[in-house]
This record gives sequence, structure tokens and C-alpha cells, in this order.
Amino acid sequence: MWKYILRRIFLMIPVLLAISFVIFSLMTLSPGDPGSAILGASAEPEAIQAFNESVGYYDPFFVRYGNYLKNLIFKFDLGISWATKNSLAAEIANRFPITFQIAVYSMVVAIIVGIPLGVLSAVKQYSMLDHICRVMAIALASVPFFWLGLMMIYWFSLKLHLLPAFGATSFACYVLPCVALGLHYAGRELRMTRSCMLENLRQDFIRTARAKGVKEERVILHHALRNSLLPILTTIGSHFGMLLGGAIVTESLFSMPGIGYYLLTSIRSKDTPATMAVAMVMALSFSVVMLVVDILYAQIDPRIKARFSK
Amino acid sequence: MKRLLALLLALLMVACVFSACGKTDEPVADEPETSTAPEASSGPAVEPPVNEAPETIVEDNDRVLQLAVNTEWKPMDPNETNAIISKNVWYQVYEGLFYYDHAAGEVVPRVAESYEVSPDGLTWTFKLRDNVYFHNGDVVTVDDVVYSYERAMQGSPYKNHTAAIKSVSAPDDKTFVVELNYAYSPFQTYIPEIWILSEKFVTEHNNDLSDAMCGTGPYMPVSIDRSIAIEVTAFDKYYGEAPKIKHIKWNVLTDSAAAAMALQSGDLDFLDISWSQVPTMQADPNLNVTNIPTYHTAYMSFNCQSELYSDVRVRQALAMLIDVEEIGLVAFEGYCDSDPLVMHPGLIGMPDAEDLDAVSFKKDPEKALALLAEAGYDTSKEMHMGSIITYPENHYLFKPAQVIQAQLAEYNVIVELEPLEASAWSARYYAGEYDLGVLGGSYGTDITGYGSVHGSTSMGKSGGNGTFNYNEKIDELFTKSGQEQDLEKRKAIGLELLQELYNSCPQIGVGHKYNMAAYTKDLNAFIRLDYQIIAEWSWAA
Repeated sequence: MWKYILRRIFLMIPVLLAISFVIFSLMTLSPGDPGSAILGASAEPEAIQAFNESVGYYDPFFVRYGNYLKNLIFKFDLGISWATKNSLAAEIANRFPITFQIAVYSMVVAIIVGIPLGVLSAVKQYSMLDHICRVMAIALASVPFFWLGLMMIYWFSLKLHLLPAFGATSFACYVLPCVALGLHYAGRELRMTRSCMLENLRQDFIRTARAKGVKEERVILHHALRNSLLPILTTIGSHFGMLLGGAIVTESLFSMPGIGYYLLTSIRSKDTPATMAVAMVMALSFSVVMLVVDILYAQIDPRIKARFSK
Repeated sequence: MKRLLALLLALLMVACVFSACGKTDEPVADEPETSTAPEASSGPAVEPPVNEAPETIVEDNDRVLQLAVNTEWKPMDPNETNAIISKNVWYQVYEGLFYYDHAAGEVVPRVAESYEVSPDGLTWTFKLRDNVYFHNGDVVTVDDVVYSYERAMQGSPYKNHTAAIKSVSAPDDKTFVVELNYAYSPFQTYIPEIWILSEKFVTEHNNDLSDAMCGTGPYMPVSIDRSIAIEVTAFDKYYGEAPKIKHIKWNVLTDSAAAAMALQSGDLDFLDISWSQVPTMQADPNLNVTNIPTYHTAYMSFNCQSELYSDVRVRQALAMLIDVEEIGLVAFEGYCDSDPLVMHPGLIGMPDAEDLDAVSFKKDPEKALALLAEAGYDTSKEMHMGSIITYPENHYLFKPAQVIQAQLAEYNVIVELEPLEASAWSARYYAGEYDLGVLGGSYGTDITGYGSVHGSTSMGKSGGNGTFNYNEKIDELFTKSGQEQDLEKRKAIGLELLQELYNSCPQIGVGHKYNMAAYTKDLNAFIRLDYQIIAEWSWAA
């Protein structure tokens, strides 16, 4: 098992290198220079040029990329933001907790809503409940998140004055964005859960369990659901990984200063170090989450654990 | 039964999809064949601000004035950036030697209690006020003033403000002297934004004011988090009248729809709004709507070195085919002053309104077509005149381009629209790789501020002049206006300048847009040009 984990960690390295190269290339190829973007078009041309020189903008591509990698690998230095002049490690350290909270709370909502309804929908297939759940799943997955978010602001903040519409200063600020985002993903969890449960409920071992007189709740929860968890876990893991990368629309709409919104502003201001740093954090987060999912596979499915042990 | 229910649910979903495709009550304007011009709106019904004395003032020392900005602040060093959202804060925290009241046309003493200018305009002498304190408790000294000016002279965004300064000195503890390289009357409008800093405070912070502020203004900083909020509170040692609003908080709200709802729900007290939000805010019984005076000018530039537009007759012809009033109604939705001037008529140094008519292009298709024919064009056939570069993300500049395209098409002048990303637009424009371009901005309150966009000194430089119309006379007139002290003579120079711009026609003005704002009715907001002085505001009943 440890060998597998170490192997996966080592495999992350070429993935992260490839991502860094692609992002760096895209930022370099995009039109405009950082001096104009950060200082503004009304800044003195000499100042813009001086700024560009100070950040090495006029150096050859591979020199700049090489310097970036050297600092990252040997000094673990993400660099300094060209726009804010703050340490990128500090910027991300300030913002990542907000994004992490959004991701966790949203997935909690998605799991609490999606999985039970998916189980019920599968167990009560073709019933009224099943039809309602299926329509709800499609609706939740299809409705644009920003519309749902705006509607929630309209009703819960503007009309009912129950919850704040912006900020990240208290738990109340996370309710609206995380519920809106969580419901969006709940639709997908619901569909995946339903599909996996239906497949497993038709299996012979379920028929055997029922024939042996096992209680229906145990048949569903202990046997059918447990066997359905692997694909569900994969879905949850990939969604969580994506959310850790920063829900840009969420953070923009609700003015929450997470890394998603930071990525957006960094790209717009051609702040290459900031963009690189956030992209690397996103890639690393996603890779770690997928690794954790793989480890959980082993815990859930003894067959996989046995394979690792060999 | 179940199948029927499923079918009904499916039909309901389909109905929901098409429910948005409803009829609109508004008439759709006829669109020309070659254009996708936006539709005309009914126009605004918002009067300019009337700053009367408030009827009622309510004391509330605990209430916080909640404001919003739509993006995070860059480093808050007042000598390293001139971003609007930063200046909105600095106008409450920092002060210059004096403040210039544009509405009244007069100087209001601040850190300096008086000043005089030598007859040749080269020496400005300021007498400092007694007992002015910085927010860290230190008394302002003349050394701080000297330090502040020397620091500003090194700051790039303030080159315009300090370019004319030769030297600064302090002959005694109360006197500060600025020597100019040349007489420069606009210097008066720059002084308010050369903020007075505490040398000791800046030194203690290693010259890094990214997240620190210490001024002499009526408000002092409480907390600065550039990605979330900046909070200030009334400064108890302020030399002037204590502000009636004791606490201010600027919140970062990046989404305009969410910000508008926050205003309507009472989470915000004042908000800059878009034109499309005006009717909603006007309908809200708890809000007032006003326009914020600004000297913004939008214009279309010709690339005078291009093959298509090197002939001034062609440029003047297009200027006479454009209907600026229609652009104002359609592109700016009526929220603008429509005139074809390439500089705002309210600028210091502009001629009086009655003199502007002679130097303004008017729509005259007959004359325009005659000019085009003279320039060798067959006006009976389609004349392909290149493209207008524009960037859609800036809608108030993109829409005029669409309207211009449609207007020109009526007379067989065919121009394409070339939407570009902002950085790409800027790169093409200042490199002269375009035919026509629509842009705009505010360049200060004095006519000489437009020297960078209409003169030759910044030709081809980012933020400068992209028309490549080298005109020595225009440059001379800008310089002459700056050196002239007498306002009436400056107006005459301004008229001459506008005449030269009319004759050479490197740009066409397309309007001066309004900035709109909405605020809660229990706020007495005194609205000033561009930047507000919140110390003048108060709570109402």
C-alpha cells in the first residue's frame, strides 16, 4: 500500500511539471504585458517598461521558465505577486481556507441531499418519488449556478433579510453560496447514486441476502449501498477536487476572496507568478484528492486492498 | 397513469425552457442590413445632483457607512497607483496642501492655510496650518511636506502632477516653496492629490505603504484587507470640523447584481450602479439615484498614418456622417451629454459654451459625401473603409462602435467591427495597427491633461495618443495653455486648440457618459466631481 502511495506521489511530479509548462506558455502567449495590465494604460511608458524589466518580462521564455522552476523546486518559493507585491505563499495561505470551507460545506450539502435521495429513488423505482427525484436531479444539474445563487440572494438576503449576500467573515456568509453550489452537485450525486444502486439491487447477492431474511434496511444500506460506493466516491472526489480548485463563479458572485477569484484577477492582470501558483495549487489539490479517493477505495473494497497487499 | 405523469412532467420542463421566450412590450427598432446596432432606450430621467443643505441631520455615532468596490485594491501606496478605488479611500484619509472645489472654482485650504503664486507663475509659496496632526499622533512639519513632494516626484502615476516641479524647499518651519521649471497653471488642480505623508511613518514601514495609511484627513484607518474590506473611523485630532458619519467601510463586492441587491436590502448605503440598474433603483422607495459628475469623454480615433485615413477630407467626412445624439440615446442609453467635442466642455481652459458651436462637427451628409467624392471615392457604391477595433467587455465603448457602424452604413460607408481582448486592443491601437478605434477616459480637470491623448509627445505610447497625427500647432497650444495664468486668455487658446483639432480631425467626440449612483434615503450625500468628501455627508431621519 505504501509503495502504491509513494508511486502515485512520484507520478504527480511530471503531471505538475506539464501543467506548469502549459500555464506558463499560455500566459506568455496571451497578448499584452504585465506592466500595462498592472500599472494601467495611463501609466508612463517608461514606468511600464521599467516594471516589465524588473519582472524579467523581456527575458527569453526558457530563461523565465527555468528561473521559475528553479525557485519552485529548490527553494519551494512560489514567488511574489506582480500586482500585490505580496508573497504568493501568504496570499494562497490566506485564501485557501475560504475555498476549502466552500468545498467542504458544498460537498456536505451535496452528499446529504444527493445520496439519500438517490437511494430512495432507486429503491422506489418508477414511483412518484422516483420521478420527482429524477426531474429534480436534472433540474439541479442543469440550472446555471449563477442564476441559482442570484435567486437565493434575492430571496434570502434581499426579501427575507435572513442571510448576508457577500463576504466570508462568518459562518452565515457561507450558507447561501454553499447551499447553492451543493444543490448543483447534489443533482449529479443523486443520479450517480441511483444508477449504481439500481445496478446493485439487481445482483444475485442482494437476492441471496433477502432470501436469508436479512432486514431490508440492512440489504439496502449495508449491501447495496456499500457496493455502490466506489463510483459514488469517485464522483464525490472529482467534484471535491474541482471545488478545491476554486469555485470561481461562487467566489465572484458572493465576493468571497478564495483562490478561484484570485485566479481570475491574476489572469486578467497578467500576473504570471500568481496564476502559476494558483494553477499549481489547484493541480496539487486535485491530485491529492484523487490519491485519497484511491486509498479510500482500498478501505471500502477488500478486493482492492488485497490486491495492494500482494 | 405513470406514463401520463412522466409525459406531463416532461412537457412542463419543455414549457419552462420556452417560458423565457416571451413577448416584450418594447418596440424593436429597425436594424440596418449590415449592422447589429443596439436598440434605443427611452432615456434617463435623472437630474444632476443638487447639493442643498440637508433638511435633517441625525447623529449616529455607531452606524457604519457601508460602501462597495468591485475589485480588490492594488497596493495602497499613494505614490505608486492612481486607481480610482484607491483614490476613493485616500480622499478620506489623506489631504494635500489644499483641495480644489471644481463646482465653485475655488481653492479650499487644507494642510496649508494660504498660498501665493509669483507673477511669473514659477514660485508657489505655501503657509502651513498650525496643529495639523497625522493619524499616528505626530504633528505635521514642513519636513514632512518636503518629503511628501519629493516622494511624489519619484512616483510614476504622478508624473503629470509633478512634471513641472524643479525643486521644493522649506525656508522656515511654516513655509513650503515649490519652484517650477515653467509657469504651469494646471498645477493648481494637481496639488490636492499630492498627498502629505508622515516621513517617520513611511520610514518605519520601510517605505512600503501597500497595507498601511497615515494621513491628516478626517478619517484614520482601522483595518486594511485589500481583498475583503477597508475600514476607517473619524480622527479625533482632526483640525477641521468633525465628520458626522463616524465610520466608513468599503467592501469588495465583485458582482454588480449582488451589490445592487445588497444596497436594496440595506447592507450597503451607497453604490455606483450601471445604467441598466437605474430604473430598478428609481423604483425603490428607499433609495435616491443621482449622477456623479465626471469629465469623461468617449471618442473615435482615426489612424492618420493608414492608407484609408491619411486624407483629412475622409476623416472630416466621416465626422459629418455621425449623429452624436443618436449615439447618446442608443449606446449610452441617454446617460450622457452628447456633443462631438473630443474634450469635455467643463474642463478648465475650455472656451465658453457659446463659442463651441463653430468648432463642433455637425451631421451634414451632403457635405460629407462631397468630401468623399473629392477624395476620390465613388459615393454611389459601397465604400469599404476598414474596421473599428473595440473590446466588447467595455460595453460603453463597444456600443458606440456598433452605432457608428450602422450610421455610416446608411451612406454606403462600410466599416467592420473587430472585437479584441483589452490587452490586444491596446497593443494594436498604440502600435498604429488599426483603421478606427473607439476609446474614452477622464484625463483630469484641466484641458492640458488631454495633451497626452491629442498631442505628439505621447504618440504611440501606451495610454497616450494613438492617432499618429503629428501636429506641432496642437502641441504648442497645449503648452501655451498650461503656461497662461489668465483664465480668459486660456479660453481663447482653448478655442484655437479646438479649431486645430477640428481642422485636422484626428478624433471625433461621441459623448460624455454619466456615472450613476444610488444611495439610501437616510443618507445626506453631497455629490462632488469624481471623488466624494464623505466628511461632508451625514445621516438623515
